[in-house]
Amino acid sequence: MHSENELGYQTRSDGFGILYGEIAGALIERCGRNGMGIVRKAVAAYGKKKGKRLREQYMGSGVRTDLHNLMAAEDGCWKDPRTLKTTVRDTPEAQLWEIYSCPLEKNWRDRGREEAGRLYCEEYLHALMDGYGEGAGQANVSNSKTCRRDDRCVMAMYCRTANQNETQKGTGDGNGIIREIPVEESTLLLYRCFIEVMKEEKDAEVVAAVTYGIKNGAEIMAETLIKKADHVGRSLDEDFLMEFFPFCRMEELREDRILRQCFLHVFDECLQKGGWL
Amino acid sequence: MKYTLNEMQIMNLADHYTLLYAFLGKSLLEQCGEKGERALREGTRRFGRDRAEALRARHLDANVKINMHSLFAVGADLPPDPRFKRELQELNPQERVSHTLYCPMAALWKEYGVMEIGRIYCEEFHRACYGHYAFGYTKVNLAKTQTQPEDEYCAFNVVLRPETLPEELRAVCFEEYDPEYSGPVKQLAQAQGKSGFGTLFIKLYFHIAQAAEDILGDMGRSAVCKGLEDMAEECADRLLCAAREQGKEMSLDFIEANYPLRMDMDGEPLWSIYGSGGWKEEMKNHFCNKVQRICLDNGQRLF
Repeated sequence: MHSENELGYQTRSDGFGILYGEIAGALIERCGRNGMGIVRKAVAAYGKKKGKRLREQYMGSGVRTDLHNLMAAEDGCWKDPRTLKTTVRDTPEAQLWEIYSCPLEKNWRDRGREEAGRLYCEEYLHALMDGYGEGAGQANVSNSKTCRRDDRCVMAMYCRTANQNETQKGTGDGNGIIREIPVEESTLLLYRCFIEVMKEEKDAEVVAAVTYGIKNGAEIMAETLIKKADHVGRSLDEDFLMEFFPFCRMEELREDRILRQCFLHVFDECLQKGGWL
Repeated sequence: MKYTLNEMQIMNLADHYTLLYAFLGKSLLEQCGEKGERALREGTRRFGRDRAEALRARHLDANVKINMHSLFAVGADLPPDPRFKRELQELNPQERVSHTLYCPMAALWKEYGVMEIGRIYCEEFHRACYGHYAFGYTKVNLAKTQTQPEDEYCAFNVVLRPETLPEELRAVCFEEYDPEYSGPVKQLAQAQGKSGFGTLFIKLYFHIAQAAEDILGDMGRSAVCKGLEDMAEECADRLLCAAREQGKEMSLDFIEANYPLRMDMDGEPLWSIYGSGGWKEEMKNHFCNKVQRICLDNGQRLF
């Protein structure tokens, strides 16, 4: 049972998982080991940028850049109500936690994207910590639900003041506002990291795989949105998309050539079906 | 559990090596606060990188691939301890996943009330050593350790993925990227007993001491010497107790068999590398002489 707000959040979160799963899946299937390397690079770039963005956001608003505040905004999964998590320790220098139900993992498993999920979990938290801690601190993912052996995620992060220089310690005093980076911003950031890595590769097969993955993702998202609108008795209009679609700011779609190619025709059809266009 | 004489000696060697970390760490933290902790962490990382480099060099010399199987199963530099228990879940060139069910080091740190110092070891050593071994490309995950009060086992998940390596290192690390590979050219034995723990003891001491001086100057040197003196008293007590348990007379031979450091320091070639900066003399003056004096004086009275 979830509220309408939660349903919107969950659907946007699923959109992130779908997009990642389809791009990463296409790269792994079409480009093999090289594709896996590209996926890892993109996830690492995404995690690092997200960590840096959080750090800058905190520094700008006077929030202490410690691990308690990192976890308040980002715990490796979303603030998705479907996440079932136990916090084992919550201090500024150490965070220990376990996750028993992860919507991203379920999303990938349901659609046969387990391998893509495994790569994500191996890279993401390490990169997030790297970006947030400016090189001080460490992330540990001893178990993750995306690994066949495991039935839960077992994670820890440490960032000791004894290991930090003055820059790494930051200047915040902990009294500012802590805000999660919205799912839609994360989705766009992840997408852009894939595009950056793809451009660096200068390989036609990689470009084809990424484009194919985005198109597939767009189609799956469109189907999901049509179904969701029907299930909640809503029109498939701009208001609905703002709540349920991870690329909710449609101008992003229009400004980006690849996104426009991959998404707009799908959503034009989708919006026509919903009577919005 | 009953142990053989040889096993009892190995356990003593291991415990004294473990206590070296506890005493140096305690002194640094008590004398120098956060800067002392910084030095201890830095020294632990240097120790980890030193061991990684030495093992990697041995592996390359024997034409062994630099990967997770080799790191954990080929000629390891940590001698076996009969008390150690683990559940191995995965060991292959890309992954080593295991749970340590009983760690004698963590148990001893807990017994001495210095688990937070042991925690520093777990946090810094494994990451530095395993990471450095594979040229900085290993991902080290250790989210649970017996040095954390919340945990009952240590959860190691250490991975090296070929796709994260630069092209030129793939063949160095994985057989499938080296079609000409003909296998190791020699067998590498795991380190054992006295020589194994002795090597680790000297390296650990040197790196922590040197980091303390580099970061804290004279204050660091003084803290290290204080740690050695405190350790000498405890070490002598433990050796006397061990002699009683084994039904042996206290003698230099007994100390040789049960303590990782050679009391005849001039006969130990490692000091030529790790004794620079006066650290060999500090060990002799603040530790070896004192241990021998207490042990032999008390031993004579006891037996």
